[in-house]
Amino acid sequence: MFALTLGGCATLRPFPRDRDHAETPTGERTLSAIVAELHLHLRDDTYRYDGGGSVGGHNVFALALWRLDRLRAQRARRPGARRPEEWENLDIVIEYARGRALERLRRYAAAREAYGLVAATGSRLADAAFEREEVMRRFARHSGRPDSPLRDAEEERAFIEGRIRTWEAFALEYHGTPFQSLAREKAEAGEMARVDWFERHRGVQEAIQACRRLVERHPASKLHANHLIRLGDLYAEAAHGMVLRSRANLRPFDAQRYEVFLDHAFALYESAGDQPGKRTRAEASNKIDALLAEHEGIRAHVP
Amino acid sequence: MSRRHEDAIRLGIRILVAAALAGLVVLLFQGRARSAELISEGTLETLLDSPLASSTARLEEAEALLQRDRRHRWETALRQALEVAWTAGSDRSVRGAISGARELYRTVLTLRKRTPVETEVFALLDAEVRAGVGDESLRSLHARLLEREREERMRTRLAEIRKALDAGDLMRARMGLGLLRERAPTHPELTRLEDAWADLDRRERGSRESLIEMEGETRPGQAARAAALLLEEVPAGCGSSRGEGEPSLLCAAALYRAGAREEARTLLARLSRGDGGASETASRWLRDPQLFPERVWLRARWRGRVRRVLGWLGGHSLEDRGLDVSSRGLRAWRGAMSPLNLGLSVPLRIARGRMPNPTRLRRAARFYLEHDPHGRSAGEAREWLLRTRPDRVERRRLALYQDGVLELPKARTRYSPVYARPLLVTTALLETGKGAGTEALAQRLAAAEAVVLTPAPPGPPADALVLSTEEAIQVLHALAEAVEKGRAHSLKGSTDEAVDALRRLTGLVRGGRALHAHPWVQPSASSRKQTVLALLEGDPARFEQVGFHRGGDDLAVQRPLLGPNISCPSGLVCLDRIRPIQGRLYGSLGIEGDARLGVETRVQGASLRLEMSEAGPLASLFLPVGALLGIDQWVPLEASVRVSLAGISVAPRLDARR
Repeated sequence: MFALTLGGCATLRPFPRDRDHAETPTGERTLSAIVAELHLHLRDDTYRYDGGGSVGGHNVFALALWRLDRLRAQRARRPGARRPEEWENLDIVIEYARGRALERLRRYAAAREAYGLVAATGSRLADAAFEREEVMRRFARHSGRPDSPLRDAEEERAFIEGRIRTWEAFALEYHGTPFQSLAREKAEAGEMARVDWFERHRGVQEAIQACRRLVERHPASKLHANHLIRLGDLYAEAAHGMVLRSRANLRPFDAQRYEVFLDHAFALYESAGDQPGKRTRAEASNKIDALLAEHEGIRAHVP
Repeated sequence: MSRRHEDAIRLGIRILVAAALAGLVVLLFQGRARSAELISEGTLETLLDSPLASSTARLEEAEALLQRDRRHRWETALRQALEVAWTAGSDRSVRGAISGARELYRTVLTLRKRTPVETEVFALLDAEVRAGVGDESLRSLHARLLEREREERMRTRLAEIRKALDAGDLMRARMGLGLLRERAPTHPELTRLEDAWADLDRRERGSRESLIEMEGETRPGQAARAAALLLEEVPAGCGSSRGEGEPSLLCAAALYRAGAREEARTLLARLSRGDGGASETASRWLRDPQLFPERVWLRARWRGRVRRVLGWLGGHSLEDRGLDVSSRGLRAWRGAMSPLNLGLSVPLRIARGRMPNPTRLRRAARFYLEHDPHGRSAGEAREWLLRTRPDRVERRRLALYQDGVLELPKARTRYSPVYARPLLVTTALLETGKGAGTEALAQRLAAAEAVVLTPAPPGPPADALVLSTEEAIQVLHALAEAVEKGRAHSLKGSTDEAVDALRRLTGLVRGGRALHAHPWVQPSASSRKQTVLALLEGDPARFEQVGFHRGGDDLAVQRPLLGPNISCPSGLVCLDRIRPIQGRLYGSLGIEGDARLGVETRVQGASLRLEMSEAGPLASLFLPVGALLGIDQWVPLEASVRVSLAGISVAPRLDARR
């Protein structure tokens, strides 16, 4: 028995325990896997869906960019590494893939640079890179900071409204392409900034109107429930403001108007809770509880 | 004594102490070994006793031991089965029932296995047979036990080999296979296990070769294929890919984005059966519901079918909770097993084609159609959406926008209003009011069961009566006085809320708002058809003034007497006069044809019932002892006195309504 065991052991080869051979010792995947995973999500509508471009909760584009950057760095360290004008096919593919990832991460300036490098190579990817570079140039111009500091609130508002118009125009122009979802997201972000501007400079009532416009213009957005909650917050704030002014004797308490605001706030939180999404449902439920508690406290003191 | 002597004595004492401790330890272990010997001899003592010196006697005793052991195991299994049945039937604890079932399962699995008793008996008989002692019967028993021992060893060995293969432990699997080949070269499983080992070994070697690939090192043609993919073309050679190695991930992604989802799925399925990072990625893609949403739809459809059957069996309750492993699920199942449900409701539900709640299926269908509108099951999903109606939540979502404009509904959250709420006052209260204003109002709106007083709403109903300020204040003051003096009460909510509502209305009227009064008639809770359907489902129902309730094996009805039974609408404060005497008519019909009819009156907490049933007349009097003693809040104690043909009985009881 002992001899048999020894003999058996002698004939067996050692084998590694770790069965996960997905990655080399430094965690690198080959280009095929990276590009395949990236390509699978390039057409995800990130405007409408929260899960668009997400793998296990992590942004697939950020992951792909990280891996491509490391591949690029490794190739740059090799002896005989070449400058862009002497790139091999593999380097061109890596750079183009980086551009695609940067584009989806809304880093338009960096994406433009990457496409520009590929467009200059004259390779098979050059034409496509050239077209995308033009789009990225336009996007980058309209998504950065203003050219000069804004002087006052009105100039800020004009800047925000200009951006909204620009991105809405882009969304129409690139309808049916993956650029459309990027443009819609930017337009939506502009509307959100507009609501914030009105709340800071014009008060709750006008912020409510601005937020209603945001909600009505973006019913298909993945952030729709969040917009409803935001509008509910504004109504709750309006109701609260009435109570404060009444307590400070600045204005008599209008119970009917207060109840209208309160009712709208509850209705909006409930509507947000009706939307799909566990997180927003939980947030809406918490908002309702908090407002209810605040209202009971107020009710005890109103005439 | 010198210092050297003292040291020597000290050292000697230490040595003696150490030796004593060591001796104690040795003795202790010897004692434990001795006691273990005594214990293990206990079983064998029975067979070595002098009265059992003969081979036949020992054989009989051995068989008796085995039989007793077998009987003990079967008794244990039976006892556990009875315990499980009792726990499940008495609804004591679902967890207890489940753990009992698990124990029973384990016991049943071990019924055919060898036990320690069998092992010991075999060991003794084995020694005898080897020594040449024992007759034919004893040898026959020994052979039987030996065969069982061999089978057990084989099972254990095979299990170890399988475990080693599952864990990828090639060395251990190889050793086990070697022993198996030596002991049982013709075993039917040997070839299959050796093939499995060879397959695993081959895969391990293949994976080790892929580890050799350097960082950034690529296979020939990889750049061209990746470039084709980035240009949204299908790379060359994708059609002939055999589904091995990474290039197939490229092909699968290209095919997917080109719209050939089925081909992509087939490719990924083949790739996922391999080993390595590519197969893991392929498995992950296959599981991603956004890439292959059909799984979501198919799973929802299967669950919908299960819930439809549960709905047939037990209505809403079983449909919602039938799959829950909890006490609520158990109660739902027990409720579904009632005779009326099985005999009446189940066939009617099936005949009506009762469908389950469509919410989850609709959600799954919408998800599927959004992500794969031309998929294999898209037509079916679309048809399901057309066949079913949106549920409440979906209707609310759809109703949120009218022509693109946000239309906010009334909030569902119940909050205490600060603005004056409309007041619903029964005509009976108005007629008995002490003020002339209330009586006059009651006369003007005599046909109605109740009157709604509301501050001037926009567009009041056509039959609304506008009260002057003086009239309005008179009415409101009269109502407030009735509430404060205990002649009126709020039908829903506390007296304080009613007084607060009156105060706020009065404040509005004094502030110049007009008060409108319009008649109110209670709407029927449900139509005849809805009442019948609700009864079939087992839900309580109300038609006109009559309430219906279907229990497990009977149908109960009741109707209030001496006044309308008003259901206060939400958002209103409802006032009615306090009726010193309340009454109701009730009856029930059991599944076995037993019927009863009765009338009940309540006066200041005490109640009198007169009832007629098959058992004859019955009169019952219930006195609120707890209320009289002032402990009603904690112990709703009543004294019941019953007079029937069988005699008179007096007993305490707790008020079931509380």
